[in-house]
Amino acid sequence: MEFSVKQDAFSGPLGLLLELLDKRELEITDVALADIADEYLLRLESADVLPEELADFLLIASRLIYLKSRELMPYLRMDEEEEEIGELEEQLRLYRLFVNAAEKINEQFSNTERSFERPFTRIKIDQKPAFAPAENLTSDNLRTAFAGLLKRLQPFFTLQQVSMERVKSVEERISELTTVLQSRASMKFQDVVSGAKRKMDVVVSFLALLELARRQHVSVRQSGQDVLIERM
Amino acid sequence: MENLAAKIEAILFLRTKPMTFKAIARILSVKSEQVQESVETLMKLRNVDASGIHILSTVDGVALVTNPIFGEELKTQTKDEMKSELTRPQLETLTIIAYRGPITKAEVEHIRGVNCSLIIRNLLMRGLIDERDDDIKLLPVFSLTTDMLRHLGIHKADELPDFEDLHKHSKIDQMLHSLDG
Repeated sequence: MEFSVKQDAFSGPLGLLLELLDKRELEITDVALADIADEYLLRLESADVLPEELADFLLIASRLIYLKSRELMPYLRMDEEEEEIGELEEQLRLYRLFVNAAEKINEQFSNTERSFERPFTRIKIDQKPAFAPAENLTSDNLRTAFAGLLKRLQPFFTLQQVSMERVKSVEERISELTTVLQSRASMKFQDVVSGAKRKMDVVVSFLALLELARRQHVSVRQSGQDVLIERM
Repeated sequence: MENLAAKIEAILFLRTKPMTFKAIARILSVKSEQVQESVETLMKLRNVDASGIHILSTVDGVALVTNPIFGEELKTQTKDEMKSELTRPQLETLTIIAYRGPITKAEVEHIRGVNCSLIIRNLLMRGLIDERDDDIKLLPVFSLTTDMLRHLGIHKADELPDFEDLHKHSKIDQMLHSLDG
């Protein structure tokens, strides 16, 4: 097999980030990442991204947008996001190591030094079709295999559980906000999220607000650097 | 067991295809670790310029192959040649598996930052990586096949440039460890 590498548009969101940074000769810093946010989004819009990769590209897009917005809305600076940005930079540096290594492996392919196997010789045997279950197909082995499978799936079940909890809390938040609005005619989004301990709390509150707006129980409008929520 | 290395060599010659340490151990009624040790001895013996026959070893198996330096001269002798192109994402994924194998799909995706399902399936179909169960990680892990080593002209993954650096990189270890949450 001879290998030659096809030139693709870009190899994943990290590949795109590195490409944009290299083009502008920037180091991997959060300022640089905020700088290329617009260009990243532009390239993403015009590119043909496979559906199964889209989520990963969007995740990085959201990180870049967060970096940009950090400058505009300082009060939304969240520790969790900061941690993730640090991780992104580290991830980029480590990814780059492999990109460089891939180059070397590519060179090694063009090298004609390689080994061969003896071609496999199949010995023909007259075989009548028959049911020949494996010797180790016992009910005990089946039970062990199934138990192993359940163990492997456990993280997935746990995830579903957590997802269900999250869905429930949006409903709860909607009730809470409705109750509060019965005694106050209006409030700011800042008030809604001031008690938030985790990023998820802010997201849940935002989703609850969107739903209330959709149901036309509240109206929302921009008010300075915040959002004003009014009872309808 | 006496002459274990030679017996292993004989079995490989007879079977003409790569075999796992486990399979060889079963045939010879010895432990898999003994087979692995003997394979290392065999490799030191055979993997020299003067030998036409060389030994490759992967994470869990071994193969008998031709000396890579004769690649140019031998390539006309076999129908093994298929023109096949690797895309950049495939090459990168292969590289990660080469340096960090055995590695799970999730770990590969964490390094690349993007979903790898189709790529991994493609590499499996081409016989460049294989998949086996890992008792510790409880998830399938991928590593290079002997076919892949052959194409690269190396005997073992650690002959790759800067293998130790990337294979034991502490920051990469940390990053992947954080996946175990």
